Amino acid sequence: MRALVLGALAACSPHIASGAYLCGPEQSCPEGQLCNGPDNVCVGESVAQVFDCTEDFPDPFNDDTPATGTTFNGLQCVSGVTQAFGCLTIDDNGDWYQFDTPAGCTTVGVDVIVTFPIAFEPIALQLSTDGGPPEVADTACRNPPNEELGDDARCFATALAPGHHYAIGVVHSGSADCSHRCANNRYTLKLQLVTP
Amino acid sequence: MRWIVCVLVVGMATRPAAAGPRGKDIVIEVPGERTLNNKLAIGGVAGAGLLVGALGLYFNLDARSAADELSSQLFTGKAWTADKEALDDRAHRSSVRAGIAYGIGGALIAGAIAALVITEPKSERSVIRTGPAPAITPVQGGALLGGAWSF
Repeated sequence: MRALVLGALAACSPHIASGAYLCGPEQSCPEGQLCNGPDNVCVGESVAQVFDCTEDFPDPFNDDTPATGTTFNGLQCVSGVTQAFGCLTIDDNGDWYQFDTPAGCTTVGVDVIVTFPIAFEPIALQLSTDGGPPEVADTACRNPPNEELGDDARCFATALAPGHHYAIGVVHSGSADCSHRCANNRYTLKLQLVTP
Repeated sequence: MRWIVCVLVVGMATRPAAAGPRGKDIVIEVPGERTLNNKLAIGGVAGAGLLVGALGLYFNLDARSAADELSSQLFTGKAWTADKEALDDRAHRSSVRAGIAYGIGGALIAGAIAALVITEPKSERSVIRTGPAPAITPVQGGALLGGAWSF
């Protein structure tokens, strides 16, 4: 009878190989697996590594304030999409990206989307105008990525004044950070100047 | 006078029968019969066992369905979301329920079989005793045929 019961139980348990799933929110993984930091894939406990910024998603140096952020040069009134890959570590307050709106535009706006794995702390966006204090800027995206595919995104779209200096900050959201154990993330930032 | 002769005839006719050789006894095994209550009790327990076993099968299939949906040996490209966590929980929960139901169902069926054996009614042996072997006694104008049995 015990063999029958054990056999039935064994047959009904999922068999999930190491590396089969991407990590879920707050590094969640199938039982017996852990979230691998460098690629946010669920792997066997013995091979899991801690979070790390990778070559594809580097942590820019000395970009923690609006004034010292990475500069996006040469943006036109209607620009192409400027893309940046970055990494926000637990001890990094934020990564900033500066740009100027062309003075000759009648009207100008900006569309920003930051995409990041759901495995780690969600990313938030801030906006600084002419070196002023940063303000929370992000909202939910109209067409967010499918959570099932392991990514989430935050968006920001607003009209800007032509001929001014702006900075977009990629910062910690302070939520869903595994009690500060996964307060880090890799991200892809896309910025485009548009006619609002 | 005629009446006396008749008596004699009867007397002569019965004497050889009483003193004749006995026949063979007939022995019959009468199987015992279960009472209705016994049948109902055993049938009820067995039926309950089958029912609980069927419930176990249901949970087993549910668990397997959930497990199959999650199982993968290759990279799925999908994240381990709350939905999958819930599906995993369902697989484990149904597995446990299936195990419990199989255990209880099996125990009930085993109990019914044991009760069937233990409460088997005993058969009774019944003996039919035969009397003297048939005797034919010639009498005036014919013969007398006689025999006796007891139960």
